[in-house]
Amino acid sequence: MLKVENMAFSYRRNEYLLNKVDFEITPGGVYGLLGKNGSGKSTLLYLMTGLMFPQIGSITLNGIPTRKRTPDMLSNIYLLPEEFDLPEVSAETYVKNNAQFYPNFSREQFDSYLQIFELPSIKKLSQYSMGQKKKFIVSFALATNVPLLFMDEPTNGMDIPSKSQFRKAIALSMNDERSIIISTHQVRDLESMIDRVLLLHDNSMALNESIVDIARKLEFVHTTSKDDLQGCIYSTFTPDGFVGVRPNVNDVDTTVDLETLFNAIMANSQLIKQLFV
Amino acid sequence: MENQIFSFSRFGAYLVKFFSEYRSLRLQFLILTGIFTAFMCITGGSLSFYGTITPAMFIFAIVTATHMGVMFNPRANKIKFLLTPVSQFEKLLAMVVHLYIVVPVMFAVSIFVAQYAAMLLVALFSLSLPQFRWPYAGIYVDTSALGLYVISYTSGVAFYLMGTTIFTRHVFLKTTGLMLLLSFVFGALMSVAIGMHAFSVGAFAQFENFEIVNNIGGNFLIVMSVIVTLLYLGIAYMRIAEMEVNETKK
Repeated sequence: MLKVENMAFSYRRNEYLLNKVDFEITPGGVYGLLGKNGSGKSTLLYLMTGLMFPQIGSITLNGIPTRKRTPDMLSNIYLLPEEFDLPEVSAETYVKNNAQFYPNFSREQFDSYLQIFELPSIKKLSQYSMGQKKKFIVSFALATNVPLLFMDEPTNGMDIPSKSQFRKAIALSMNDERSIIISTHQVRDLESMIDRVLLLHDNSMALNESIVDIARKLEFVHTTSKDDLQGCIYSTFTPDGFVGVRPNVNDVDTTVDLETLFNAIMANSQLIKQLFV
Repeated sequence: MENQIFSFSRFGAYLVKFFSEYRSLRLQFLILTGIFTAFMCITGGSLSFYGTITPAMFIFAIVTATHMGVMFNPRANKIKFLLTPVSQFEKLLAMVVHLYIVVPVMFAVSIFVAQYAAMLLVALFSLSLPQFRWPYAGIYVDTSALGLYVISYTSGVAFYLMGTTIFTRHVFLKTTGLMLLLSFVFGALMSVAIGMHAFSVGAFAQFENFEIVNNIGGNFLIVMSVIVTLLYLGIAYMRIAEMEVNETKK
């Protein structure tokens, strides 16, 4: 569906923020786009949606370069940016004005997402708080039923109950034809729903693997004894004891701990990359 | 598959969204009507078409064109603008419709409303009955200079619309600066310079002055004006088509 081929992008001359990036987004699945602050997560989202243009390589959606921003292409994607602004119109007017550009928009689904988020009905969108506005726009984004939905830090500004409502809404909206790409540094919020990890580090895609493959190749250790950390590529002390990650040589079935994986790649990306070759 | 450049249904839907979400339209109308009402009450009668209305409309239009920069700044607005599923041409066309149709119509309606509002206010303060059959009428339009005004308006407004798509900050100042620079450099070849000249002629609406412009060649002015207007709009279109989100700071 969306193909990023040998792509490079820089804000400054010869200083590539992203270099030699290659990956593909296929239909069906939640992609977690992870990386440190300033690693280029938002930039990559903007590049994929055609809001920025790569200096080298190409980004295409069903064969059409995203930079063309044709109406058909735009009605197949939706980007929920980290910061957004809603017009001073009623919720009804907003839906009426914007839903018509998305042929698969479902009013029923939209109402059900609003219910999940427990949003009160109001006259004007400006009466919503920032968190409520976010829930409203997330509901709209999910109800568009676009094949490619991009979200930049969607849980920022959401309280704890809202985060679980968000996970519920995402789970309900998923189907085999749609992919959701979520950029976040709050991995704990979304850990349970991510199907595939895209991890940016050192100006390139350090990891692009499914959770299933990660669990097959890496073993995540949670222990109170330091002796259990033998063979770990990375380990650290936590208030509960120790966590570590090591090659899964014994086919042990463990749950992927995204935070530990993230820190392991930050510490030793080459070694982990080799495991996935 | 729908046409990717223009489709009536898509453009119609976008126009509805554009005007419904453009916050300041109603406020602008109220302010304009208020100003005209006050002006009519103070001067006690009709407005001069070339002396008051056309300069006011021109200034209002270029300020509105500049104000359209809110669609590109801050970044959140720019993302919303660029990712709305209509073509770049339709996005520009909506702005053109606003500046070339909605603004003049809004002016006409606000003057019409202001006539009755002024009449009512004067009647109220003078404790007399309002003469609804005879409001503050009387906008005499000298049609001989109307063409010159139209060409100066279209090219001038197009220039400011182009400026809005080029500059990210201090749009009005920078566009005015650029206009003065271009006027200085290209002189008579630039329609803006011609437009300003025509505008000054139009503002006083004297027939003998009109002859000066007439001598330059009315057809030449029209052709030049159309060319530069299309050129400015073409540049604005290319800017929108090639616009990237990283040009604007948060």
